[in-house]
Amino acid sequence: MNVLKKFIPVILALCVLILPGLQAKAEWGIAYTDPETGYAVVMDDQADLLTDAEENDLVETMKPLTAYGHVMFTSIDYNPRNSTYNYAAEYIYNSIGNDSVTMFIIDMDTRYLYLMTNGRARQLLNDQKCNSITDNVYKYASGGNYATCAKQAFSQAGALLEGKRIAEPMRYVTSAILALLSALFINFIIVYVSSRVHKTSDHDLLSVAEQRFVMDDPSVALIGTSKRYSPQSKSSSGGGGGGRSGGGGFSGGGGGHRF
Amino acid sequence: MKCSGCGAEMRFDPATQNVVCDHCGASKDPFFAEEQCRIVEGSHGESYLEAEVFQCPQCGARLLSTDATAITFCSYCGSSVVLEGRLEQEEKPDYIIPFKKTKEEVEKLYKHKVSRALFAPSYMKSDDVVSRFRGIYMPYWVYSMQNADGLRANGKVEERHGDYIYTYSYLVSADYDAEYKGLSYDASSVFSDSLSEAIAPFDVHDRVPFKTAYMSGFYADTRDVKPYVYIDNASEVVSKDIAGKAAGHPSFGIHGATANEVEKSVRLRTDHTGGYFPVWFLATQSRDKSRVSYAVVNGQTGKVAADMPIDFGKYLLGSLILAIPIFLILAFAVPMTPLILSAAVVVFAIASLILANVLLNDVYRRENQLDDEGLQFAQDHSEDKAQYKLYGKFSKEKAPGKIKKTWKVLLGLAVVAAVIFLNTQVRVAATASDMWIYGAAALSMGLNIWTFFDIVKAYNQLTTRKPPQMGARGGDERA
Ligand SMILES: [Zn+2]
Ligand SMILES: [Zn+2]
Repeated sequence: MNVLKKFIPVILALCVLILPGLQAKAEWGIAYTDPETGYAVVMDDQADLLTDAEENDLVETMKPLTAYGHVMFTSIDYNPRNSTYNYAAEYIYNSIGNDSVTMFIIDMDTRYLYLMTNGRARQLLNDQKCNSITDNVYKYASGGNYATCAKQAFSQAGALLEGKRIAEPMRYVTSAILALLSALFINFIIVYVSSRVHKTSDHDLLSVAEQRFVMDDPSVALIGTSKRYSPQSKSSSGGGGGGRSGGGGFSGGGGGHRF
Repeated sequence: MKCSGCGAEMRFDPATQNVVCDHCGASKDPFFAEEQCRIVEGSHGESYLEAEVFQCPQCGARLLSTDATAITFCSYCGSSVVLEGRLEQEEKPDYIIPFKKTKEEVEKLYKHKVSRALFAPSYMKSDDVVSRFRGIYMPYWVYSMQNADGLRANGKVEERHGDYIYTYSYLVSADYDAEYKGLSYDASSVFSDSLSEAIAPFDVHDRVPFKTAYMSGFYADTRDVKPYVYIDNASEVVSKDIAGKAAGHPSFGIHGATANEVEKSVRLRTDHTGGYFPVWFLATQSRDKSRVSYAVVNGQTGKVAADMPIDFGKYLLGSLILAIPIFLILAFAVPMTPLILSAAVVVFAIASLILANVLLNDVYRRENQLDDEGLQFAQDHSEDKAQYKLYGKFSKEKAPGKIKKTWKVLLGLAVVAAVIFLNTQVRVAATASDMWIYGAAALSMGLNIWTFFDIVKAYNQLTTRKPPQMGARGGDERA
């Protein structure tokens, strides 16, 4: 305890140094913070694809998603990573770490869209669904209509997140039915196994019988020989399997589309 | 049997193996007691008991008794009726295994068995029902078998030499001497084979010469199945055993002669005797009196076999209670995604399809008596051996129309499959598609639960039986 007390001033000092740094770093894009969940809407239109009015409109569309995590929109015209996924993953990891997030990025450099989720948002909106959404909206980006593209992506993601939340009670209902079905099954199997009438085995039948068995040494007669041609095949030995190892702290994923 | 001291009715007491008088305490060795009925010599050296045969007016089952007391309920159909007796001649057994287990012991054994059956109907445990256990001497055929010939088996061994495979064929033969005595099968058609097979075996080493005094306080069933009916069953058991023992000799194995090959060459000479074996018998009527459940106890060893139907209310209640912890685990410890849920639904549907099929087959075979050779024999009035050949080895006939009876599970599976398919095909971005999967899963599981009730119904059909229908077989055909 004493050791800990010694460290408290050090920890406090560190907090004072770090917190304003974080604040300063995130400040550039935070357009709204959900007072209930504390999750933020981040608007970072680096490629300047949207007008101010479009940005405000998009922020309104993004707001409801803060119920499930941070919501981010980014556009870039230079990608030093050359991969939209890598850029987005790094962007998220550097700003909020592994917190729950839904991010939509329009990469003008590689001409690629990506909808990325992480944390709780990813549990509700999996990679397959992200893919479906980018499939649905890429045509707007191809036509240069970036505002509609982003707005559609977020409203569809919002609807899906909402739908999953609505489906939550259904999850409990089906769990209850599944539990009843399992219980009926288990109980029946117990009864079936424990109180079924079993036929006595032959071994037990014979156990009470008086038995005598004596056999002379058998005689063996060779009654025929035949041969057939069957060339020996060269056998080959297979190699071993390889292992794969992975690492890293970021576990987000999503889906994307070229436009 | 009347007590010579006080005139009260005496009974054979399994605990002391004596005939005792509960009134004055007198006891007597049954071997030295006087016969309780007339024994008539037949023209071919066989003997008959001239005793009272009681027939149930409900089901036609017949029971032999040497006592003067009236029979007030039927041990085969469970009806409470006074059985009508008349003097008849029944074949006298060659010997008897007297009851070793007392009624008290048997009631305890049965109650223990019922207490372990969680969902058995309560009435099966009531003292009123349990007190209806009656000791019945069952007529059995006891077979002894001797080999009639030597063993011969063909074998094949393959060997590789370079690019050629050589096949050597051998004939392995051996002289041997084998004898098996004491395999028994019940000779009463009302005593279901499925029950007698379950309480087997009886050890004939305990047999004693037949004396009617052993029957005091007990009944005997009448013999209505011919000895040849079970010869095939006994031969098969013995042949398998002989083949197994012989094939253990390395000369067979080394030369590729399998036990199966050896078994084909086993020829047996069979002989049989008839004995009375002790069986405690209890018939319980279902609530609507249309079906009957049996509990039988081997009166020599105490082995119990009992039909234990499932009480629907108890089963449902027990399952609801068990469902609570399972629900807590599913809802909070398992990440229940629509995918996991769908997989669980499919697994359960397949499991109940298999279960339903197995049970429907069993029910079909039971209701059509496909596995009860004694009953089939008795129902076939012609007692001609050639007729029996028609049955031959019993067919593995299966229940028809099972698909129709399991349509609920199949429909449930189809619904889930359809929804999963649509969900992967149609790109529904802005709809709550999970709702559809949950809905389909719920519907499918509901149908599966419905099927489960059918499965339990089938199980109850197996644990209850049609009461015997021996009405057409009056006493006159034998008199
Ligand atoms: Zn007395
Ligand atoms: Zn009856």
